[in-house]
Amino acid sequence: MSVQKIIDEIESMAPFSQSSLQIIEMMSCPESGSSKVARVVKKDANLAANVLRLANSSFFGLKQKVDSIDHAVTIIGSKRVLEIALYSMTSAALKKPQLGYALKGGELWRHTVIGAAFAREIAIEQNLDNAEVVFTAALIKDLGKVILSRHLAEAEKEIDQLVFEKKMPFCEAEKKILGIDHAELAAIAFERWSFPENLIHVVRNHHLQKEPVIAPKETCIVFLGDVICSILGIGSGKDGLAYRFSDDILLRYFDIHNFHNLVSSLFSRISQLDQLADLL
Amino acid sequence: MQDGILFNCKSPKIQKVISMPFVQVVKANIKFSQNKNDVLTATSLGCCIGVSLFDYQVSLGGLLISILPYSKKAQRVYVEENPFMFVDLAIPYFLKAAMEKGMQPESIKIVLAGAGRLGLRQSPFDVGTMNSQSALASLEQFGLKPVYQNIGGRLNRSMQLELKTGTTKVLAAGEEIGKI
Repeated sequence: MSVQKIIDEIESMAPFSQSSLQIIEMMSCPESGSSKVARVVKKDANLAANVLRLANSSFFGLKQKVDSIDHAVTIIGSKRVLEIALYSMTSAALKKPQLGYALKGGELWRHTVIGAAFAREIAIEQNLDNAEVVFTAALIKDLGKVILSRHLAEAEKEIDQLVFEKKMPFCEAEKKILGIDHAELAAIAFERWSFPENLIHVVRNHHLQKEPVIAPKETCIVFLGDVICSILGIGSGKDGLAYRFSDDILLRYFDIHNFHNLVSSLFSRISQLDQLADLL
Repeated sequence: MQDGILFNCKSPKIQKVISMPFVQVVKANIKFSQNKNDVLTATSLGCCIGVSLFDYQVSLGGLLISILPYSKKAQRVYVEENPFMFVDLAIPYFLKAAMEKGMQPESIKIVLAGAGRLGLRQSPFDVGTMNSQSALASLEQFGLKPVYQNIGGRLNRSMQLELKTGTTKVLAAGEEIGKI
C-alpha cells in the first residue's frame, strides 16, 4: 500500500459538507454572530435535526422545549449550538471500532468527547482567548485514525514489534510501516477541505512528535487533554501510552504541583461527559 | 456486563469468555463479591492501578481501581468527593473493608496491575510509577505484599478476578499477558 493510496482514501471518509466547513470556521472565529450560526445550521437538515434533538435532551436540562434553530441559539447560545453541530459532524466516523488501535466501537468517540472537553477546560483555565479553537482541534484530531486503523490491523505484528519491543513512539511506527502517521493524514485531509490553518497546525502536531519544537500553547493544551485521557485510560487503545511524552514542553506551561489537582478535577466531570457521549 | 475487549468472536476461547458474567468495576471505586460466577473486571487501566484481593478461606474477592497516588497533592474538595481516587486512602480503606468481611492478612492473595508509564524517561508527570510506589507503601503499612504485579511499561492493561478460582488475569489489547 503506497502512501498516496492511503491519502486518497480521505475521499472515502464521510465528506464534510459546505455547512460543516462554515461551522469549523465559525468555531475558530469567536465573533461569529448568532444569526449567521442559525442560518448555517438551518441549511443542513440533518445537522439542524441533531441540534434540536440534543438541545432538548436531558443533558441540557432545559425547562422549555426548543422548537427551532433560532430558538436554540437564543436559549443555549451560538457557541453551544456550534459545539453540537461539530459533534454531529464527527460522531459517525469516530464511533466505529478502530481495530488497528485495539479500540472497540464507541471508545475513540468517548476519548474524543472527553479529551476535547478536558482541553477546553484547561484552555479556559489558562486564560486562552481561543478555547473554541482548542476544543475544535481536539475533536477532529484523531479522524486520521479512522483511515489508518485498517492498515495498522494488517501490519499488527510489525507495529507491535516496533512500539513494544523497540520502544518506538507510536506515530513514528505508523510512519515507518505505512509511510504516514494519523496526525499528518488528518492534517492533509483538512488542507484538502480548506480548514483554517491554525486548526491544521494543531492537528498535525498534536502529539508534539517533532522535537525540538516550539509548540504553541494551543497545541500543548490539546496534547495535555490527550495525555490526561491516557493517564485515566479513557478510550485508550494499545497506542494510548506509547507516544513520545514531552514533559519538558509541558513544564513550560503547567505547574507540576497543580497537575494532580487538575487530573482530580477533570476526573470528577467524567460521568457527565459520558452521558453526553452516549447522547450524541 | 460484557468486557468487550476481545475482538475475534469466532474463537472458541473467546466464546467461552463471552459466556462469563463480567462485573465491571469503574475507576476510583471498589467492589467485593462472593458469587462464584462473577468475574470482577477493570478495563483500560492506563496509568491507574488495579488491586485485586482474594482469600480462599472465605472465597471472597475484591477489586479496587485508583487513579492518583497521593491525596495530599489534591484539593480537599476532590478528596472528600471520592477518596477512592487516591491510592494512599483507597488501599487502607479497601484492606479494612476486606478484613471486616472476613479476609485474613495471612491468607489474602494480592495482585497489582496497570500503572502504565507515559514515555520512557523519569518525569514528574509519571503518575503510573507513583501509583505503584504508593500502592506498595500502603500495603507495607499492613505488613502485606503483592504475590504478583504486572505494572509499568507502555501497556494499557485490563484485569479480571475470577471468583470461581481466585485467579487474576492481566490483559493488554485483548491478549492475556499474565495470570496467577
